[in-house]
Amino acid sequence: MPEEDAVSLKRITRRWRALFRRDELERELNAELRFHIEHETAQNLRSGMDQEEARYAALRSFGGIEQSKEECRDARGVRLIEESWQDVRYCVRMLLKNPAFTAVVVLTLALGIGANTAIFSVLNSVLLRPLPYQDSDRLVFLWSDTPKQNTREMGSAYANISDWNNQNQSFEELAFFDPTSVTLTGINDPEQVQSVHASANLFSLLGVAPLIGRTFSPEEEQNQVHVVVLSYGLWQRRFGGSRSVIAQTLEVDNVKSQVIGVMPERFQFPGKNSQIWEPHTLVPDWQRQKTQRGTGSWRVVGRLKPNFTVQQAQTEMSSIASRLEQAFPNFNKGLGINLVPFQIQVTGTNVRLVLWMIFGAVVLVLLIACTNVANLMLARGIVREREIAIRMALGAGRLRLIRQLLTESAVLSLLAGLFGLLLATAGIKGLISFGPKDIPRLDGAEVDLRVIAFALGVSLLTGLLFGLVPALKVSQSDPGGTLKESRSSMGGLSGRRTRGLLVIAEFSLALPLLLGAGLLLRSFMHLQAVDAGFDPARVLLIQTAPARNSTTDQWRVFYQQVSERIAALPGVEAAGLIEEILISGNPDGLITIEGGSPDSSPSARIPFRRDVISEGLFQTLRVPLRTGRFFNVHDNQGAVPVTIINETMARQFWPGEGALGKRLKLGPAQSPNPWLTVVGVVGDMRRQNLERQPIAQIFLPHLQSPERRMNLLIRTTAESTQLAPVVRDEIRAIDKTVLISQVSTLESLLARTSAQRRFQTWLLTLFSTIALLLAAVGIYGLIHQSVILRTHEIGIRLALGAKRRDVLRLVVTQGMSLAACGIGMGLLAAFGLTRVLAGLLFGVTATDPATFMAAPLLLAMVAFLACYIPARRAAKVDPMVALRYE
Amino acid sequence: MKKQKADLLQGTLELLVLRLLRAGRFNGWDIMQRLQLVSGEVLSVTPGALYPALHRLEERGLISAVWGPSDNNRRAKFYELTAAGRKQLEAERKEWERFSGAVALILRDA
Repeated sequence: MPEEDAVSLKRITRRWRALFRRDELERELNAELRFHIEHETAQNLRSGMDQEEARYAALRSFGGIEQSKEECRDARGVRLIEESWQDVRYCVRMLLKNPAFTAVVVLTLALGIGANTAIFSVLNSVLLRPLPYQDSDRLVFLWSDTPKQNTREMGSAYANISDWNNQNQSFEELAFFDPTSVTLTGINDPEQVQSVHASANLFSLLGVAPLIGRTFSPEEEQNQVHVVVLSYGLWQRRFGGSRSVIAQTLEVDNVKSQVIGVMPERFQFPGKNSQIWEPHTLVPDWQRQKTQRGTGSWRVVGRLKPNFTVQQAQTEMSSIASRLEQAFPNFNKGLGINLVPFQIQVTGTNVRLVLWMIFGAVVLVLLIACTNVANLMLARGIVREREIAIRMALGAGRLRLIRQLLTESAVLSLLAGLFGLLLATAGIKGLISFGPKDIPRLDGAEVDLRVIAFALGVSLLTGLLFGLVPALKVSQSDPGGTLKESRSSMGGLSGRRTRGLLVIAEFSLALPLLLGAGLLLRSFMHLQAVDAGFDPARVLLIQTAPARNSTTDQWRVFYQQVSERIAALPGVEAAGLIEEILISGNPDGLITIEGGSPDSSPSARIPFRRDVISEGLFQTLRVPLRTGRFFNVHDNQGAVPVTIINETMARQFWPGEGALGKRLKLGPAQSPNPWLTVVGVVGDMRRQNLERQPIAQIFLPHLQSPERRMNLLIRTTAESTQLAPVVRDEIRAIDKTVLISQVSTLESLLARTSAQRRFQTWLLTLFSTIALLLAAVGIYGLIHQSVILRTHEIGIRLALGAKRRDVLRLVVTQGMSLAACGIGMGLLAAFGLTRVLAGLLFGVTATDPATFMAAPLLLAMVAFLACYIPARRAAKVDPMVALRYE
Repeated sequence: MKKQKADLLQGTLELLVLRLLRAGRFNGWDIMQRLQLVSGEVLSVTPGALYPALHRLEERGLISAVWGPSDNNRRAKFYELTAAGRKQLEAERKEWERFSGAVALILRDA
């Protein structure tokens, strides 16, 4: 109704004026009442009174003017807001008067809120923000897996994938892709980029349309047409973002390819460094791949039909896998299908666990900070007791007082929130630059609206948390008692008990943090002590690849020359070649061991890695030879095919007998691959990362099975990177056309594999140190104040003959009993909490006795120190001074 | 907001004010004069109680106020009934009649 609208509109304007035009309203009110009184006076004059009498009578007949005014103000309906504003102004004045108190509270809280906000922004970016694909919750990765060998995520073979595609009912469709490294040629400085060979439906399955142009069609795929889709980054970098790019060609591995489209910037699939997408049929060995079963190099992603769960799909795919296992026992033996939801695949379960753990840790830190501040507020409550008592005596209601005290905590916490947000901004920058590079979307962490809302919410909640207990406590005090007595009732039993409980809480919160950090530190130390099986110090690593159109004979000659000439350089101790020094993913395959007769040669699918190496590799890496010999120049094309295996492999297939002279074959028994004779067994190398047990490793001489792309490892006598340009020139001198990339040191490469562990250990240690300090400050504050409050009592004790030692013991015991209580409760909680960490530990159990001894001891020692300082002060009390002290 | 004291009196006072304003636009002093006139000695209303009542009614949107010249040409605040006030007055009048009728009925038998 328009009439009612008008009324409510009027009311709003009135409220507005009441709040912001207060002076104007006051003037009006005064004018109105003055008008009344003047009228009344005038009437009184008319009835014959004199001026003064008339005015006095008018005032008297009015009734209490000020009271009436106050009631008129009440009528404005903005009392609550007005009073709150008063409270805010009052409390800002109070806080400014106590800058030390304010600074301590704000800093403590800002630290907690800042840490929470920073970690939340990471959580938000990595885990919470939806992926930039349509209905990404329906996207699922499908992996080949061999449950018996506990390898869960392996690539799949094409023939299997097409059967999955044809037989399943759960998925709308399946797409597959294989990221490989290619070289962009035809330019002055050939560039190595990641190319994703993908099925044509990948783009529509993910629901992302190209920014310009189009993606490839099934026909182009069928006919192996050389077309390429560019990433936004490459388009900007190589073509300056020009729209005419569609008509141009790009040379990939020396083959001209037509550019047909550019993907939008957000499309980074499967990863940030994916630069081009090509039809999957363009992989070099497509003809062979078409019929391949077992495991392969393809990764599969599917879109679930609406209303199908991952669980349902998993059940169906498992039954398809067992059908395929029966149909193709030679290749698919023991092979299952493992479904992983997209979001989990992108982040990785480990990263999820780490992030939630760290978030849990900062929440604990914040809670401890809150407890500390609550303690401070209580301590200040004692000081303010008289003020509050006076207010109560003057008629302030209990609720009104609580509201005033809560306003104070709200102001403090919002101030802290503001500082916290600033800290968080810096913290996020630090996390991104120091954090491990392999946490996906970590660099997307930023202060967005959701993060700001989080910071605001946490601040207010914090304010309530640390403000409520003191507010209730303080407003309980009895004004009569307080005003009469000079002794503080807050300093009395009940106040001390509350503060004691807070200190207990603090210690019980700090202990799980310390334990967690302790366990991670122990894991880290264990990791440092792990023998990698090779010596990475001063080893330079350079990836090289002769031109794509060169022949295998040229590779042999090139690499033989490289290893000889680099090894002869001054400053070089040794040099060797290997395909890949670190193993990524979960490589596996079939291996056949020669038995008594061709029919009785058993094949087994095992996790293993095969690498082509040069003679000098093991000497360069200082890998010990257990038995047999290393490769030499005589292990060439004309000679018997030979292999060197690692100890794990030898143990696995020939336990208790010598592996030397035994023969094995890569692939099934009927495969045309040659039998390889074992000529040597070398020590195990941990090449996946230091935390994983070494898998079987098979090495082949490069003269017998040459590879184009190899890693050159050079052990130098001095700082290794200085030699890099010299080595580069030397290689160029051998062959100008060779591609050189990825110059780094082996140590930095290894450090990258443990970057995440370093990161989580460092963060948890940082947070638990903060917790430890906060707990120490908390108990120190309590004991310190209690000593001051009990000066009188201590004085009496001393005067009555107590020894200073007794006083010392009295005070320390008081503090330590609280600490012990907290530590005990913390231990109980920790037994449950550290179990969550189990997946992140290495070499220690979640209930590692040493850590569970050390952490409580450390906490107790800090508590002792925090109690001892005020206790010594108490023991030094001069009884005469103390008794006079009031 | 402060607790309202003497609810009956206050409610009655507000009802009276509404009733008075049905006759037209008045300033506070006028209303006071008329109140004394109609209620005589029965209800003793002070200006100190009247003005808060006026402000409350205004806040509730039952009356509205404008500043204008008074009879002796001074600026004064004039109040008048709003449509909502008119409705409220009618409703309260009925309620009052019902209530007083019931009380009268009971007391007649006493």
